[in-house]
Amino acid sequence: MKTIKWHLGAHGLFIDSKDQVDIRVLHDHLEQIVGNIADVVMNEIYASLSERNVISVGSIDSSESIVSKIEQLLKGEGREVEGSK
Amino acid sequence: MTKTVPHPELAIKKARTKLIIGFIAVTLAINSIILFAGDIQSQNYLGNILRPIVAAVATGLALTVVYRQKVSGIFGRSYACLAGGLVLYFIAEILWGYYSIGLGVEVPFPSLADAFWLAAYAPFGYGLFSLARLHSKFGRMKALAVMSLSVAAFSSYYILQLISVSDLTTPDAATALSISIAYPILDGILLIPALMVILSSGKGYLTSVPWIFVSWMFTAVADSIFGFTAVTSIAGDISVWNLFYNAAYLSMAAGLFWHNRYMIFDAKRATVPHVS
Repeated sequence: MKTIKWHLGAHGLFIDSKDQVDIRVLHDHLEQIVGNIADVVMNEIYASLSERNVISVGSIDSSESIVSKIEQLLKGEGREVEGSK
Repeated sequence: MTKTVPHPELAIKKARTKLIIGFIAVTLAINSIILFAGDIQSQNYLGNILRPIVAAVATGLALTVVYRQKVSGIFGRSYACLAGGLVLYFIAEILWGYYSIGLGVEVPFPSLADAFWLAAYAPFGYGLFSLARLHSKFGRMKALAVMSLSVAAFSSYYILQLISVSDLTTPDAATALSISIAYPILDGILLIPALMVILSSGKGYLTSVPWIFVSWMFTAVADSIFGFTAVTSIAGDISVWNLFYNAAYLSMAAGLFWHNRYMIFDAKRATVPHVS
């Protein structure tokens, strides 16, 4: 993972920074760096996000791409944060 | 004046080309020693010396990966298993060499070395299937089904041919035939992840050449030739299988070298500045 982070940094994408990271850009860069392993990493991210968004996961179409699924979960999270303000 | 350092992607692509050229050159050089050795006895004698040497190189690189990467996570466990398989292969090669060079006798088939070669399928199987899950799109069920059927058809055809040409008059012929059949079945099972990865490779500059899976293709070819010659009692009369085993060990070594150099995080290299 450290190697992948370092290469992402070389592409100008710093995932540990406080700035928002576009999930599609992250996927594209990951694919350039590690090919098919990109999907494994994205699935890990989705699994991790799903754990804290159990309600939103139920409304996501399972046939959608992993990137779309993550985007929907993140949008759902954003709405929850706004709603709680 | 500031010195510009190429982007890591460019440097890695150059390194990949160099490794491919290096692999071809070393394989040709080592196999040429065998091919130009003169008569078949000399070829097999040199083959029995060179195979353990290239196996030792691959095993050494595998153990280095395990030492640096440790054994946790999918990569850690997979590479530890590959290292375990290579250690067993190396022991088998040493035993084979001891029979033929140390004792100066024709290596019996089956021999103690076969026990180590067969035992290696368990760790190799775990390692290859685990890595294949990462590197290939196993979700493509149609491709997986076609691949499995093709491998099963080829293995069945090969086993039938093996049975039909077997010399069953020799002592231990039944055991020899059983072991000869076990190799293509086990090779066939491990060919499936290898083919899946090779067919879906090409993306990702860090992982683009699936060396370890290419190595398994060479192993399967070598085992097929060797199995055929062993049951027909002509294994000592040809030496072509040596060339494929050497290529298998060297492509495994290339993959392990690549993993050591580029996939395991190295803080010293990471500090090198780059220009995007």
